[in-house]
Amino acid sequence: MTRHFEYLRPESVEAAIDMKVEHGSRGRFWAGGTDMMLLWQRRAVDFDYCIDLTYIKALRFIEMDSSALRIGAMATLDDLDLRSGLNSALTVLGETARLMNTKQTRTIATVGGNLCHASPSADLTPPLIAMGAQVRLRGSEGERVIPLEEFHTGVNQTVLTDDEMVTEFLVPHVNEKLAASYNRIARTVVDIALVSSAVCLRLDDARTVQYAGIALGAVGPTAIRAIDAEKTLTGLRLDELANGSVQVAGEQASMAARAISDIRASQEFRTSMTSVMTQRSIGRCIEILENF
Amino acid sequence: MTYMLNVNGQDFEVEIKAHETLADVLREKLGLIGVKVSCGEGECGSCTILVDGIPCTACLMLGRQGEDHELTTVEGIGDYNNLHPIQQAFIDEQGFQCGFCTPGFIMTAKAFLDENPNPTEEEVSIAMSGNICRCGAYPWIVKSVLKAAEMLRNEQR
Repeated sequence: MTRHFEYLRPESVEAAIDMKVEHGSRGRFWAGGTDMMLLWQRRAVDFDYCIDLTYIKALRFIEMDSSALRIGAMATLDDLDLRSGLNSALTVLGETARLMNTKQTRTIATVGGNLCHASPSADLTPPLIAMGAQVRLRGSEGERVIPLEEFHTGVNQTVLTDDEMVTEFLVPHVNEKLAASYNRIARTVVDIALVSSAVCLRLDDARTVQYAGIALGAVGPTAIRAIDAEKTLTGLRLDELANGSVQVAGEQASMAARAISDIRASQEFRTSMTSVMTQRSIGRCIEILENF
Repeated sequence: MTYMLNVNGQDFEVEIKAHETLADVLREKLGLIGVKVSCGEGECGSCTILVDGIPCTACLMLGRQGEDHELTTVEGIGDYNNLHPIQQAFIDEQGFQCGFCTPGFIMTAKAFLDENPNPTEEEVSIAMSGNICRCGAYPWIVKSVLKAAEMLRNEQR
């Protein structure tokens, strides 16, 4: 049976939303398309109208304003790689991007697409959530900004309504004494994560941990924040962190994990590796902060 | 419907169906069979082409997304009588066995050497890591790219 596939090319966010309003669930936004192409070919998604966002130039940017790092939804993974190193937040995002598939797909795949696909093992989700990122959504009714940790509601499920799209991600406090690290276990370099953990630590002027963010990937339907582990680290002086609290936080992260067994790994392995990945990420953050 | 594609420096009016991949359009409509499709899922890098000089897997792009860009395939960088230094280096250093993955490797190498004309062996290995060679010619591929870098540097002098 021939399937209907019509190609639409809006050049502004407004035009894209108008098209989505017109076609409703028969239209789908097409960001980089590296997931969508395969889903469509495998008949895992069905729609009549492909609304290609790659020609909306206003959505492809990575910039700093006075308080936050702003990443446009159509910035590519390769853009993140190329901007790596400007500050701790961009460094961890660049390092994470380099773990994702290959250079020639990173030039196509987008940050917004990765987050909207809402895969539990998506690599960008944990570091962004650990850093306390927010996401700006735009629909026919207007705009809203929500914490990224509230964005995913299940496997491949988000809070996006039928005519909404992501326009940008906001990472706060990036000009402060902040360190972030992402660690994962994957079978090969191009494989998806079996377990992942991202940690973000921010110091105040007294070199005390003012904020700790820990987000776990691939151990639940959505990324999970390890709240108890965050509490363990918050309020400690940087030089006190090494005294066993890293191990405690790692174990608490394991307790927060809600892993399942599947073809890739067992529940036990994932749960136990959650602690290891979290401890590695905390260790790396401490290293970075010691040099601040 | 027909659309304009700029491929290897020439404009072509091409009939493109909305769902067709750019790799299929280049192969089937323009006969550029140097664009190899191996996995068709963006894992292997065989279909790597340059879009405005940036390496992209053509199997994951829609044909229509080739509009308004300068596309380069392996046919566009050299021909049988006038090989590009990278192509010559792959022959000299025997950087392939069956040759199916070679166009993808050459296009990846082209984009990489344009950015980094004087790479280390490790940098080459990392840059080539997005392409898979099932014959396992990797050590010779790395040598080929290093040789090509040297040839290109000498050419510039």
